[in-house]
Amino acid sequence: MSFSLSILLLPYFIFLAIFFIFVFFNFYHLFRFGFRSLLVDFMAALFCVGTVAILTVSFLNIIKIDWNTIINLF
Amino acid sequence: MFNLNKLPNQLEDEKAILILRRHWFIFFKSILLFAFLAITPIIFLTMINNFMAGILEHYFFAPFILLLFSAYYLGIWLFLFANFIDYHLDVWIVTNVRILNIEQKGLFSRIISEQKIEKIQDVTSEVHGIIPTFLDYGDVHIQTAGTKERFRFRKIPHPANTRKKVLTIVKESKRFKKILKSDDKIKI
Repeated sequence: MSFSLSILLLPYFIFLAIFFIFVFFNFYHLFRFGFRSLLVDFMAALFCVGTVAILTVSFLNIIKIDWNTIINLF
Repeated sequence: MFNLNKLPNQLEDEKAILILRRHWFIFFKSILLFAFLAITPIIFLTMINNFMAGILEHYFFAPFILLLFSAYYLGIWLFLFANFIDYHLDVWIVTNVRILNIEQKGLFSRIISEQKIEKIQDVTSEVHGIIPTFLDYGDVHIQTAGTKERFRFRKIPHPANTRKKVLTIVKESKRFKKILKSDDKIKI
């Protein structure tokens, strides 16, 4: 049995989709129900910067991998 | 977004006197947990790499670990942010007219309750434990007439001072109502 390494990307992208749905709901709650303050703006910006940083590091490493490699299990 | 000058169902001449949130240490505990969760996999990976040299260059395990780590760090980063939102959205507001209790429970559950200030009968503050005693945070229970469940300001800073302030607001409110009533009886 063999499969392409790119199959690993499928659950990762599903996770990313769920992640962004939760991000959307978090921001919705924060801006819909939160009290406007400098701390809220700072935390929202910090979260965005952190997320972009994690995704950038991940992407820079992901592009180095040859996802067409075939894995032979048996 | 809420505005302190525009509270939910704000009444005329209503002004926010106390705006209370949980103590900063409650959110700090989430930061500590985040730091622990962020460091643990790095230590774990270093140990695995020492015992199983070359695993990080393996054609299958290297990308697998990369994607796992990426998802893991995004997950705990979101966890920290969600904890901040939970911390930020739980708020108790004491105005000259009423007490507002706004609590966010998870992403899809939100409770807003209010009680008129003159209905408050008893205010109790509680501080339990070593860290709460040192940092001066705890609960304030508010017993109102006609309700079984008490309003509870959870893990707020300076609970004893808050209790005194709430009692003063209640006393002033009741005195003001009394004056208004007695004014009605004066015949000019």
